[in-house]
Formats: sequence, structure tokens, C-alpha cells
Amino acid sequence: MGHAQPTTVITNKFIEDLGVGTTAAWIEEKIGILTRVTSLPLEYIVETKNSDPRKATAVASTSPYELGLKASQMALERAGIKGSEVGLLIVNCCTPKFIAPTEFQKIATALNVTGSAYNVFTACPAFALHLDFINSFRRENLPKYVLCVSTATLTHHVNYNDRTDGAIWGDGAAAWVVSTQKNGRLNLVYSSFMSDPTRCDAVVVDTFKYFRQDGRAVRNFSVMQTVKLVKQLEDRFDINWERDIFIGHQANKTMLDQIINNREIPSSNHWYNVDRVGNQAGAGAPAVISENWDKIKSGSKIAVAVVGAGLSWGSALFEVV
Amino acid sequence: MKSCINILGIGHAFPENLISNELFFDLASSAGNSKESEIFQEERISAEAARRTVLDIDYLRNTGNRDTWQSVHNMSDTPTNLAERAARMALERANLKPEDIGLVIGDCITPLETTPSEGQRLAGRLGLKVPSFDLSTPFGALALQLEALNMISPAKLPDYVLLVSANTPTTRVNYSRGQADALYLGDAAAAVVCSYNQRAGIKLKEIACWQIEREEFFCAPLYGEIDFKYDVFKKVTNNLSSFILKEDSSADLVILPELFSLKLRPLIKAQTITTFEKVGYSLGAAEFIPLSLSWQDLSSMREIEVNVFSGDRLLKLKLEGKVV
Repeated sequence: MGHAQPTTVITNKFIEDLGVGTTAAWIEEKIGILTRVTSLPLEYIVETKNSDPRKATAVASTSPYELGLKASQMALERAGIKGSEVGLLIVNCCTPKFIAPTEFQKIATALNVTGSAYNVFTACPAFALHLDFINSFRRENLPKYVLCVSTATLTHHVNYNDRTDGAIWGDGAAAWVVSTQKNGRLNLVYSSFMSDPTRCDAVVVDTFKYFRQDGRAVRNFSVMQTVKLVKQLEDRFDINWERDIFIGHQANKTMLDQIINNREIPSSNHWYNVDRVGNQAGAGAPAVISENWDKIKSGSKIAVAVVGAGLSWGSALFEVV
Repeated sequence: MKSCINILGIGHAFPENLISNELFFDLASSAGNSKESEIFQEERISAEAARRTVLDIDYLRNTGNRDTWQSVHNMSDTPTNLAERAARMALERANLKPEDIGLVIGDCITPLETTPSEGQRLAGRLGLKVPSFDLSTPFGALALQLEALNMISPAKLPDYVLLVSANTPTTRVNYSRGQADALYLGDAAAAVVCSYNQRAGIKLKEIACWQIEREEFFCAPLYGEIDFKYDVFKKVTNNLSSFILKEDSSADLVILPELFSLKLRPLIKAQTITTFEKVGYSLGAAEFIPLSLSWQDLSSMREIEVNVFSGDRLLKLKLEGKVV
């Protein structure tokens, strides 16, 4: 697995000092995020509040493609393979900067991927979608290696005049190499993906303007659906929260705390990064695994439950080999 | 690769507005030193050719869509509207209701909203609470969706799957530049209802593919205007010619890669149809528009061959007409 993020940090104090009606203390109490990472220059945010998102792309220090590429390179190195060995590349990007060549085409070219490549997209629950998508293929139809990437620069679609949106989002990418022919450190035991598109307007990224969401409805959905997903995993599999690890969608820390309290998951076995990097959409949960790659323990399980735009949701359960 | 997918219905939709050749030349005349006449002659574009667009024609006349960002405020139709109309046509032809669908896969690389996915927007319009996501690419998306479906275990699929591609590339064209992209691109959607289990409609027998050298002739930032490299496009056309000529098709009907169809058509003997000069090239939906327009005739055909350009591959879908 691999991950990548920009280096510019937005602190809660920075957001407070923007003067949009929020405080550092409020942000920490309500959403549990202390810092988030962005590819935007801080001066640009102060001067413009990102009033014209088109200009964000021009001033950004990095792009979804570059972040996706870096995450991919880390994942390939850890897998011990070259890009030319990848037979299928699938990418999830909710902030594309190109119609053509797209982020997946640029990553494929940079890594010398000669197999098939296309977008497989659902925004935040991409980790579950990609795993479930690949898991549904007939084995003989899968190439030896599949590279999955989720990348986004959602801070480009933040209205920094809004007192909540600026506190949520971070930019970042994650990548994971999967194979049905070669053993790895994580063995996928189960995957699921589902959606309720009748509620798809609850979370929107406007191509030309900003992110918007029905905050209360999405928060309630996120907590309830994640709890359901975790319960389903608990009912079907031998999960022991003293041994096994839980990773949720990295949307906000207070929501995750509600979930682990509901499922009685000890905080020591709850892995997250949202408090440091913000909500990185589809990259969030897989980036957590990547960041902890050297800490995962043989014999344990990692349960991932992700929810988000669409509205869509999914889960994955891994045995650590 | 052999296939067991049955195509139960194909639908299409395009906006009402037309960019005629006359309008194109009017808009291009302000560009001054442009090559539009040369390209027109070289590509053998007919005098009656037109392209469909979601753009308001008055807006287009007044501005040439010089600032493509403004297109979003001057559209009379949207990708999702097109997707819904195409999907409902496909469902009607399949004799199904929306609630029969168990999976929706969409494609739109010119969305008004990058999130949610087009598949989810369409499924929402149809009132569905089923797995929905996008499998998208600038070229050949519907064919790639079928290819992916063919690789999935039938046990993991619902009875009926809805695939759709809807794009509005004219919204990213600066018509006052008089470039080749303005001649080629059009807006449209196509949808396919398919099934592994239900034997009806036409059968997708086989999907073959050839790797071709990836050449970047179509470059478009999300917020800018399309840069169509005509010289590179000609090179790709020549590359495709050699693949098309590899074997004489015995099919009753051949659909050629729509973007290249005018140049490739004279090379083959089999009957071929193209809607390129009625619609323009609509990216992922393109090759399925002529199929949808011929839907009533397909079931009587022994073999239909659909050639789709997907950027770095040429896919050949072999369909078999079946009497229901």
C-alpha cells in the first residue's frame, strides 16, 4: 500500500484567524480535527478564501495526478513490482483536473502500465468499491497485479468563507496493489459495496464551484451505516477488538469516536489519521493502513468500513498474514 | 474473449440544438488564420453534417463559447438528462421497469458535478437503491463497461444491469478558434440494458482487443478548452486503418470507431452505418448511437461487429442478432 499528501498544513488557528465565525476550540470539539493538509498556498487562502476555485488549480503545489503517482510508487515498491507488471489500473478521483488525458491515463503512462486502465469511481468509499469490484471478477480474468488508486485535492473545492467546510477537507492519495496469484501481507477475506442513489444529492462536489452537503443528514447516515457495517462483520467473522484493528471513513474524529464507543472498540485498536490530515475522501482509510504498514501484526484482522457520497458505503476485512 | 452477455435493450439521447457547418464556419471566421477549411476537405465532411450540442445556440453565436467556463450557465440540456432519456429508452426496449435493475454503471467525463458519480445520479433519477458507480474513460466507456461485466462472475451480478455513457464535450470547445475539435465533437448519451441470465435481445458473443500505440491527440483540462492535435489524430487514424484492414469482416453490419468513421468507411466492404455526421463524436456513447438507431433491425442480423477506440486499444464486439 502507499500514500501521499502535500506538505502545507492548515491549523485550526489558521482557520480561526480567517475570521469566518469559527474558533479553534469549536473545530476540535465538534469534529476532532487538529490539522489538515493542502496543496494550496496559505497566502492564497488568506487573500482569496478560494473565491474562484478555477484559480486553485493554477496555484496548487501538487495535483491529484502527482499525489496518485507518488502513492502508487510507494505501493509498487512495497509490493516489489514495477509498473509494467500491472495488468489493470483503476482510479478514483473526485477532483479531476483533466477530461483527457485523465488522471488514470497520466498515472498509467508515468508508470509504464501497459494493461487496461480506467476510472472506477464512487468518491469516499472507493477502497471498498475497488476491492469488491476486483473481488467479483472471475479469477482467470484478473491479471497478476491490479493497482488501485484514490486521489483528490478537495481543498480546491472549499469555500473558505464557510466556517465548517474549511475545517474538514485535506488533500491526499492512497494506492494499493492487489493480486490473486501472489501472497501479500493482507489477505482479503470479505468485501462489500452498496449505495442508495436516491440520496445522491446529499454530498456534492460542483465541478466549477464548491463542495456542499446536507451536514446533519450525512453525519447521521455516516455513523449509523458504519455501525451497521461493523456489526455485519462482527456477526459473520471472528473479530476480537482486543486483537483486531478498526479503520473507519476518515471524515471526522468525533464521528469515529461515536462509532468505536458503540462497538466497544478500544482506542488503542482504532487507527485513524483524520485528526492530522483532514478528510481525504477515498484515500483516507487506505492511507491509514499504509501509514501503519510496519505496525500491522500477523494473526490479527483489519476491519475497514467506509461511507460517503452517492450515498454509498462498503466494508473490507483483511487477515494479516 | 468469449462472452455470455445478452443485450436486452439499447437507448440513446441527444440534445435538440444543432451546430451546422454554416454555424461552424461563421464562428470560426473570427479566428482568422485557421485551418478549418483544410480539415473539412481532408476529413470529407459532408455539406449536411451537423453536431448536437447542449449549448444554447444564441449563446454560441454571441460568444463562440470562448470562455468555456460560461457554458454551465448556457446549457439547454445536461449529461444526466441525456443519460436518463437514453436509459428509459433502453429499459422500454428491454421490456423492463427501472426497479428491475440491480446494478448501474455510468460514465461522464464532462460532469456538472464531479461527485456523485453519473451512475449514482442516474440511479437516483430512476428511484433505485442499488449498487451504482462509474467506470469511465475518455474513449469507449460503454464498450469497456461491457468488457468489465464480461469478466465478472455471473454469480456476483444481478439479473439486469444498466450501463450508460453521457457526455457533453461541446461545452469544452472554443468555437471561435476554428479548430478540428469543433468539427468532430457532439453531445449525446447511450445506454445498454444487459443480462447474463435472461436470454433475450441480441447476444454479445465475443470481445476481442488489440493494443495500439497511445497517442495524445485529445487534450482537455477540466476547466479549459479542448486542444485537438489534428496531425496526431491523422496518425492515429492511419494506425487504426491497419487494424481494421487486418481481416475482411463477414458481419451483416459493421460499426466503425465513430471518430474515425469517415476516413475508415471507404476501406471496408461490409455494410456500415455511422451517425458521426448527424450527432458528432460523443465519446463513450458514440458507437452505440448507430446501434440504438438500428435497434429494430438488429435482431434479424446474423452478426454485427462494433469497433470501439478506447485510447490505447481497439475493441471489437461481435454481436449476434437473435429472434426473441
